[in-house]
Amino acid sequence: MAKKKKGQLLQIWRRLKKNPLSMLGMAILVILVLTAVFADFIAPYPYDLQNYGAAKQFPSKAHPFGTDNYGRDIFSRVVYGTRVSLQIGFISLTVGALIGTVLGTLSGYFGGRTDTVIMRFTDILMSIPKVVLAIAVASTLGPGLVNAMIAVAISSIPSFARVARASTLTVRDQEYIEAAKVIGAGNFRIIFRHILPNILAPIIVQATLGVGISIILAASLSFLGLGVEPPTPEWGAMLSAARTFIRDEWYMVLFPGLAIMLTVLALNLLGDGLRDALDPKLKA
Amino acid sequence: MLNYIFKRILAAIPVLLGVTLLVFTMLYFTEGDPARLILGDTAAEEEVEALREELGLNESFISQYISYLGGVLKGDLGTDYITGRPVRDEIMERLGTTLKLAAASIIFSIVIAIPAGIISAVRQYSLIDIISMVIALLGNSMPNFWLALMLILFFSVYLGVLPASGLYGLKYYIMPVIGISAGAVATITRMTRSSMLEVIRQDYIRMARIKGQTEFAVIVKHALKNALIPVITVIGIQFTVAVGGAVVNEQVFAIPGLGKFLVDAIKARNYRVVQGGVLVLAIICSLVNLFIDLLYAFIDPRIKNQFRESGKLRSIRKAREEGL
Repeated sequence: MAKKKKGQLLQIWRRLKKNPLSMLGMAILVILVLTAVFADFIAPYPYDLQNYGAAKQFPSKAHPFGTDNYGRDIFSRVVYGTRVSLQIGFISLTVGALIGTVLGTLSGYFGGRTDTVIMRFTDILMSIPKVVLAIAVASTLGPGLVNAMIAVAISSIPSFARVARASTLTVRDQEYIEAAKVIGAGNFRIIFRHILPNILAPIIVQATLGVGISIILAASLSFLGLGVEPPTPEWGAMLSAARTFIRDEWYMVLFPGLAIMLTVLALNLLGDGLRDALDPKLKA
Repeated sequence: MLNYIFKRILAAIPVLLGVTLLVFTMLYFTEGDPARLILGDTAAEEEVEALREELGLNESFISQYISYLGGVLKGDLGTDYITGRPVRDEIMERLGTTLKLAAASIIFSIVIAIPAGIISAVRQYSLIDIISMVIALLGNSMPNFWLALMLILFFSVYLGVLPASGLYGLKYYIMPVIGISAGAVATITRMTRSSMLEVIRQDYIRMARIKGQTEFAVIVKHALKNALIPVITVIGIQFTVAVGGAVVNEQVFAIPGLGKFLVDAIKARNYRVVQGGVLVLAIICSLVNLFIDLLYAFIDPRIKNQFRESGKLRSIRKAREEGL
């Protein structure tokens, strides 16, 4: 069993390796994760070091991305921002994915009334635009890093529930599930040992693409002033603070946005490649 | 067919009720004490208590929800604590702006993305295909408010050709619409391309070619009709995304729509307005998606046939029963 699994993973990795764009995405992502981990060593200045004497400086050797209106080094803030944004993206998505996947699996496995209740619940969440839902949750909980993560996590539940339900429906009636039932396995065991491992592929793809969406959503919340609060160097919050200076200090608006784009682009490239590698049939 | 339409409309009712419950619950737990909010910190406790009683705030959660729902069904969304005006009127004054922005963005996305997707599929791996796929990838990767800021930087600050704020005429729509629709353009282009690629490899397309039809006729008459079916469902989802995009972009361009009103209301802790705004946006998105689902049933021959078949089976069964 373990050998077979290892073989499958190897095959997926081989297919993924053949896709240069996905490898590029993965490389960018590795660099970003390393940047987040070693931010203390990479950033030339602390992210909150104010220096009014050097405020609003154009990009230079000393300040590659320039300085903001408090004289803080934008490059250092973007570097530390990697840590904040990746943290929000990964943690909120993991929580949303776990809840969504469990709900979707239960819905698909049990069917009937359970299915109706869970699916109507996801319909309700899906009928509200993601940003508006996140805004509503954030307004209930108040601003802040943890609350922004909760808001983003809740918004990502329905898409995982849908994917997990659809995949569960395709595996539910397979012979090995029947066999497990015949030998007396309980529902809990069947779901966690037999169904979940077999529906992981589409969920992993959804998760990879979902982290990007979560990062953008969290940035939008902070941009609106409802997410991470200053002086935390979150990219959306940086853009929100910088937009009044767009006329003369364009670099304040450019770099945090580029950082978001690069991160989400890397995740999208990797996600697309993973989808093709995990399910070669889907490849257009 | 009628059966399907009826079922679909029926299924929308619990969802809409659920939205009212969700919105009410969320704000119920946030609101703190609206009576205190209205009267201010200096008011005496007796006065606050009297107002609480008057507003029905001392009643249970269920009875408060039922009276809220009753109000909603009659079109009453409560009173704005700050201005003293009905929330419904305040929302209606601004809703048009947000909907116009979202609708303009969806129309723009369709006009750009569907032709781009078709050309990309027909000329797969050509330069135009590569360019549109790169644009689609970037469009999916950048936050729409940042794109909007970059557009302001280029068209308003650098070139000075487009206005950076407000919404007073056609010219004012250009940047917000591009900002809001970037994601939708990307998604619809990719969807049209992959759906078209799948269709043009089918036998009946080969057959049409063999019959000597022009390439244009093959693509437009035969392929497009079937390729667009899955694209239409995506458009419904993209409308919901566009409404969200409008909410954020109204902040960027200082457009006095419902989105800006909503965000300002949260900052002012004006929760009745938040409740009303979220509810109205959710109801509109649900109705648009319901409409798209119904449209889908009309144009997808598979759904149509499914119902035709079931009708046929019914008549066979009836005939059998009568025969027995």
